[in-house]
Order: sequence, then structure tokens, then C-alpha cells
Amino acid sequence: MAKLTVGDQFPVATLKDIDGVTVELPAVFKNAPGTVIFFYRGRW
Amino acid sequence: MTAFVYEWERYLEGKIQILGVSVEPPEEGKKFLERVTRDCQEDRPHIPLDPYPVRLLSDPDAILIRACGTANEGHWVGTIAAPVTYVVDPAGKVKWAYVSDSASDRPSPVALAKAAVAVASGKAPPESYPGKM
Repeated sequence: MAKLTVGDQFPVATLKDIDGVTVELPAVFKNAPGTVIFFYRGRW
Repeated sequence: MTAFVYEWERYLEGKIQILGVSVEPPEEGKKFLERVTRDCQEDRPHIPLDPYPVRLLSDPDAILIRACGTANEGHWVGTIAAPVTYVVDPAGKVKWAYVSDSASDRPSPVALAKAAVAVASGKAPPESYPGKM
């Protein structure tokens, strides 16, 4: 069960994208009128 | 990932941003994105998606993944992200969510796209396409 649910504010975090560009959350959500963000396990 | 291909017109028209988060290092994310882009070009050449319009983020220490409560701590490869999908508004508020039971359990492409388009239009996600918690 995910802790983050509908109505919650997305947490603050600083990540990098696969090109090495820093991405600040939740500030990145201002870049679009709507964002889909999905978590995935990755491939191995 | 195929959900975004099936409904690509809705995402493009809605100017919707798509982000993917995993613990994988950037080089693995690049390989993944290249593979998906190639598959898309070969399988659906009529869809102009080059590069594939998903921005993959690397969270190697699972900081965001844990903050969202989406960590699968007991996996045999170590901590990974459990499959969860959110639609978020520009203020960073979660407007729609789909918590999957497994990696193969993903939201319907139509439901996800309709929820995202509604949020991008400043509306509530349609009740006829609920998420799952």
C-alpha cells in the first residue's frame, strides 16, 4: 500500500534524469498542466 | 509504458508531462528508453514518438520511492519501487492514483489518459475512470 494518496502533496526530493540533469520535486510539476508519474521496478 | 503509446494523442494534445522513477542508474534507464523507443518505431511507425516522450528519473537510494511509501524493501535484488502511478497537478498535489498489485497490474491506458487530461484541464478526474488504492 502506497503511503502517498489522492489529495496529498508530493514529497520534496532531488533526483537526476538519465541525462544527468537535476530534477527538483515537486517543482518539476509546474512544467506542465498535468503530470503522470509512475514508479517502476526497472529491468535486470 | 505502452499505455502512453496507445493514448499518445491525448497526452500530446494535453501537453502532459510523463515521468518514470526507478532505482536504476541512468545508463540502464537510457538502455530501457532506447529499447522502448525502438519497439515503438517498429511496431507503430505511424506514431511519431522519437524520442519516446517519457523522462526517466534515477532514484538509486530510493529516497523519493521511500518518501512516497512505494518501496518494495524485500525484493531479491534489493530495494526497488513497487508499481504505482500518480496524476499530479502543477501545485504538486496528487489527483489520481493507481496502486498496482504486481508489475503486470497497470492502469487502463484510457483511464490513465482521461484522468491526466482532466487534471491538465483543471478538472477532477472522471468518476467513471477511478484509480485504485
